[in-house]
Amino acid sequence: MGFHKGDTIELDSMAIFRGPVLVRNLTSDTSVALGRGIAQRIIVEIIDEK
Amino acid sequence: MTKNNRYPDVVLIGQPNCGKSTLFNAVAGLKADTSNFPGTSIKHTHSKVNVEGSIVNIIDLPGTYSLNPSDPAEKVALSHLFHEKPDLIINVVDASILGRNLELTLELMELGSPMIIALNMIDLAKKKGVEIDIKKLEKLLGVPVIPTIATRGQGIKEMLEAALQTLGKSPSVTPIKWSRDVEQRVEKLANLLPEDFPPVYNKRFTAIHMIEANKLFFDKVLREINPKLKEDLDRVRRELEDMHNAPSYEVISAERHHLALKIFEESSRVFRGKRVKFQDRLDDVIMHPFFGYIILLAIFFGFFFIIFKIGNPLEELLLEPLTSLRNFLMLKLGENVFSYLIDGLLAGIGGGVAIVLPYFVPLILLMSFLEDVGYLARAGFLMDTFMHKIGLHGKSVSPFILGFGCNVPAIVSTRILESRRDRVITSLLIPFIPCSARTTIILALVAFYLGPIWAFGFYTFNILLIAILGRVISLFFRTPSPGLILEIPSLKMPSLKNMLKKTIFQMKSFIKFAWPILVAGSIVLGFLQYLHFDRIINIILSPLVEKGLGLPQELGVTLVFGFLRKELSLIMMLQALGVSYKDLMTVVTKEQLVVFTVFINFFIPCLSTVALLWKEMGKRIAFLSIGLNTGVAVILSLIVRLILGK
Repeated sequence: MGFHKGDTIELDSMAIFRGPVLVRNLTSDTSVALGRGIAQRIIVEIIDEK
Repeated sequence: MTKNNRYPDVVLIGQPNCGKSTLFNAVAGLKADTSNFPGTSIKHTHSKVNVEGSIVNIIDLPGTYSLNPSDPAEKVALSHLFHEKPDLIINVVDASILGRNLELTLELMELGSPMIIALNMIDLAKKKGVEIDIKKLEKLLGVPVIPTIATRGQGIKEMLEAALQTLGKSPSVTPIKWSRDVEQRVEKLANLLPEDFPPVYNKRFTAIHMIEANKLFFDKVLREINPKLKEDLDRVRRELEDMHNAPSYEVISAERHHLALKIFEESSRVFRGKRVKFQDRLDDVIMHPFFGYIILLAIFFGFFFIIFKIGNPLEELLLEPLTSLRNFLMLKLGENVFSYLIDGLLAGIGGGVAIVLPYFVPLILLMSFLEDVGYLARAGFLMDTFMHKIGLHGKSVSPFILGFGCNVPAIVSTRILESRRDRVITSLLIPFIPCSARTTIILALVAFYLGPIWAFGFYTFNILLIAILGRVISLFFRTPSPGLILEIPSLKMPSLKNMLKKTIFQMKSFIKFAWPILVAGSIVLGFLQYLHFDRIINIILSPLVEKGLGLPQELGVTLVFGFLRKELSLIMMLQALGVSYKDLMTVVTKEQLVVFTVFINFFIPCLSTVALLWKEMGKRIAFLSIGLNTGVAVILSLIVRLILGK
């Protein structure tokens, strides 16, 4: 999916009914739609809460 | 130039959606299908091209993120690269996401084969605010870098010139060194490879992939055939893991990632483009949890409305002279074998021009627009929730949408799905999607005689049916669908030239393959009618056609021929009933029209679809599909007859 340890990502959108999330990888400037099951397995650290 | 009595092989390889196929088409003419959706090329396409007097064999490989494939399409790229060993690699790189694309570049460089880079979509990179110093990039990588814009054909000549020069000189590419500790371990393992061990490309590349291959099967085989080497490999892996506190395959992947980013940062400057902000805003609306679905519905409705609004008047306009000509000839020739054959010929030719093409052309053109603009992946994101309800995920949306054009490429495109489970379910559901041939039948019968609302209702029902079937089929699979991982490409303004090229490509394919079947089928029917042989087929099928479905007995023969091409049933229907298109409703009722459309629509997939299902998924799935479609068609037609008959 093109994510690496240390990449900065941004949550762009969430589909209805617990559908996929749209995540933008700011490091590689790509957007990926991820199913919730997969997204939940990615460990993230909040660096800038809007 | 020939080598070993053959033309040199030049492969185009790059990550999905980097524009390889567009580049290939710009070089070789229109041969590969393209779209703004990752994974459109699922098989390799090749073409011989004359470059300044030298003939080279150019091969377009499916996109792959790395040389560790995860889906069947990626495996096609890798097996070609390993087995055929091309003479030159053209690595197509998406300049707008250079950092990530360079990871594959670094991997390809490890092969040590002659290589050049086509830095594609530099226009998009500029719009995104990425300015790349080409000379610097060339220096850092040590391979020629040629900027290209494949959609406009820019840089193609320069790329081919560079390819020829590199082919002539055959310089070997030197892989860029990693951090010292990783490099030392790789070198150590490469040196430990026994002389009789068959390396892939070279010892260094083999060593790297042995470290990365975290597969139980590989490890088990290696332990059996060479326990000493397995021990050495384990030691190297352990050393890397201890030093980096991460699995060894992750250490290698992180090395490439950091190196790619470093090269990107050293060769590029990034400014924030205005267009990106606009695109972001547009995407916020298109993929909005509420407005996104409103837009999706509007696009779906608008799509068929436009096709009908263009196709309907065109059809009427083209049919009139055809009917007059047929009536005139029948009157002149009288009733004999010749007149039956001529009438069959005219019905086939005219049916293709007047009934099929008016709907087919706008459908393909609009489909190209949706593909090229990048909407398919977005529809996949929006539909994922609903796809889960039928046991699949959003990645199946793309094959489904392609199925509206033609079921055949849609089944091939299921190769982008990682699990066999998803491939089987999607392949079984695709034949239920109304392809352009069936859309033509729906529009030419249901919309033309009963109104567009009926046709829209038919479509909605069709989609509902697919959902129910998907739910039922998925009950037979115990393993759940793996989650969605789908790259969302940048929105692009589609090039009209590209859209027209694709439409012409599809039209040519219709004229070359489908139309002759339509014409031949109509002539055969004419001959059967002359011999009154059609009556025997009709009598055999009458328990189903007449008694079961309540249709005129004469339509039996058309159902048999519909297996060759779905449109054939429509054209033969008129021929079998002996009426012109405009007079159809004088011999059939509205109820019969709907029952006929339902049966034809869901009845066994056409010959090409079955053949491909057999090839891609095996005999069992092909027969299962035939049985499923026929069963559903019979049951639904009976239900529709019962409901409408009251």
